[in-house]
Amino acid sequence: MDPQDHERFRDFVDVRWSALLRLANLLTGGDRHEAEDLVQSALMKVLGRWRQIEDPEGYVRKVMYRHQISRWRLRRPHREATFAAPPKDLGVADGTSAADLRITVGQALARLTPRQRTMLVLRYFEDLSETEVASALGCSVGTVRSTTHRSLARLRGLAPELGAPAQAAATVPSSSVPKGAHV
Amino acid sequence: MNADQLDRAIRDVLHTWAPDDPSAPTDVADRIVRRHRRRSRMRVTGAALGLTGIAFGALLVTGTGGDDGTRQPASRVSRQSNLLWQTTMPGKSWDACTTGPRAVYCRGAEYDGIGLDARTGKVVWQQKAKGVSSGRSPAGSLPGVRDGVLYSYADHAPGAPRAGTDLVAFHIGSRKVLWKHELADDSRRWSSAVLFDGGVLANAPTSKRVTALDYRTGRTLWTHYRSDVDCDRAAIGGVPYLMCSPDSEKAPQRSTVVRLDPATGEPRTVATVKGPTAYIGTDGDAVLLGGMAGGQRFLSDPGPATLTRVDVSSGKVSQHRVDSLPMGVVADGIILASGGNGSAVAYSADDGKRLWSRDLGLKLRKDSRDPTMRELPSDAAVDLGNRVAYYLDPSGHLVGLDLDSGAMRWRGQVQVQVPKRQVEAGVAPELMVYDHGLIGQIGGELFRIKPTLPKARS
Repeated sequence: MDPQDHERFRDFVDVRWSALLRLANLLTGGDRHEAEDLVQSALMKVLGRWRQIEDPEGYVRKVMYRHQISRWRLRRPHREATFAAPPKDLGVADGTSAADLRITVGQALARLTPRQRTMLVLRYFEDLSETEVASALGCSVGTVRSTTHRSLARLRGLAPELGAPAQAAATVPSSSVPKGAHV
Repeated sequence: MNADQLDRAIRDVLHTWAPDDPSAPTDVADRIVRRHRRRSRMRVTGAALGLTGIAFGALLVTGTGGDDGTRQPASRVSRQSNLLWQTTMPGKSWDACTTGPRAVYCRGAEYDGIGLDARTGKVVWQQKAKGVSSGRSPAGSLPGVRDGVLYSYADHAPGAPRAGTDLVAFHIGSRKVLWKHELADDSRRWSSAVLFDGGVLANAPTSKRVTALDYRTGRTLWTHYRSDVDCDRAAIGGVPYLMCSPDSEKAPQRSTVVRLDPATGEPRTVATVKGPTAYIGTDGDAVLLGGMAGGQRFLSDPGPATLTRVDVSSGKVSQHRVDSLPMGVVADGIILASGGNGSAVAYSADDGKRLWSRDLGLKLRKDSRDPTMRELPSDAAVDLGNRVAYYLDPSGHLVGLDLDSGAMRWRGQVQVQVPKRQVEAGVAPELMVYDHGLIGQIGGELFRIKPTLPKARS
């Protein structure tokens, strides 16, 4: 790597580290060490193709999605999820306190399998469409759809406070629908 | 909750779920470049060695090598390490240390808090204790660091014969004390103040009561009282829990695990089990308790024990008989207990099965004034990435055991300046895993070392 590329890479890491760590933190269920490992592994890969890649961040993110899913077989410890930045009120008017709900959902997310969690992170945090998720993970749209469905069901199972899906909840505001979702 | 609400809740949780310290570790880009170069070099070297191996293999096949076909396995114990720094801290008596983002913090008799740069070992911040008289503070722990605030302990009435203890929040950036709160007693154990999501659970104002304090302001959020029991405190998934055991033989002989609502303190009993128990630790979402199973009178009496596992999500309780009370560090489904005489014993946190035991081979001197007393090794510091449990003795010797088998994987030593001092029986050094390496504390000596582990078997 020549000094110019080295400088560009350093700038990229400096500027994008926190965003990448944030994504890795979600993908790993709040495990800080694993999150840092994930970001560094992905950055190592991007380094090997630094000159050929037009969108380094997109590449790193894609590597992280795939890497996280491929690592799911590894026996990893269950660590405490960190909720370091207390968020504002969630505003869910269902009688449950926002803090409780956040903790409940956060814990349940941390207990999903990496594959299930990755699917939800891509759909709800990265705002990718089903087609984009399928492309990123190298699977079919049907797999994305079924895994998302199972992940949500498991989330409800892990957090009974979320309740069963309401039968009458037919109308979903378009603003809250992930891109490419069918309602 | 309907689908729309669930969507919104997940989206909001994901968008507000941030790592503690999102800033990039120092020189991370350069380190990645160096690792990448090393890996590229290894690939080139590997290819060259591969070719050499093929040629050499051909010689063996044709008999030219004269080998009998057997090969001694490479030693699996590494003695290599890199001592990154070693520092002698000011003051004489140090009781506890903890690590934070790029820093290590300690507390002792003469300092309520001291901060060192984890890269260099240099002292960058310190808060002297007021009115030091005894030269020793109650041993124990440091509650921790969160959002740039160090939670430590200090004497409530410095210089007084019974000084009492305050929980103190130090803002590391401004070096100011944000708030203080007097605790019930001088216990400065790890459970005297527990950080949970949104607050700090303090054992105050009495030993039977806990108070939740706002972690930024120290304002009391709620309090909770329990009679007839002594409780340990822990945060599981950011939620505070109490593990309570009867405080006397007259009290109802049952132990309970109680969840406290983080916002209101509303208690919910998760599980109740017969008899007194001791809190061992948490394993994922499970609380581990140890009880007596051999007719002993006290938990400290030797003899068979019961390992109780309580799943805090479902309240499910499972109990297993173990040969002795497995008190120790819990790491990824394994309890690492002390086997006495400088040995370690590993038990399964799932069923109490004894997995392995191992003499640590550390130097633990006996006290000539009382031969029944001897030095102690540190608690295990577990590197889950490499699945190694490390221990440190007061003379600076270190060992690393395979977490799953107990096999020795690494040995190291740090030259400490106090090898010939008087034996301090019962005072253990402290070892912490930090950035795939170790930070150790022996008295006033603090060091950071990076073990080089043998490569895993393929």
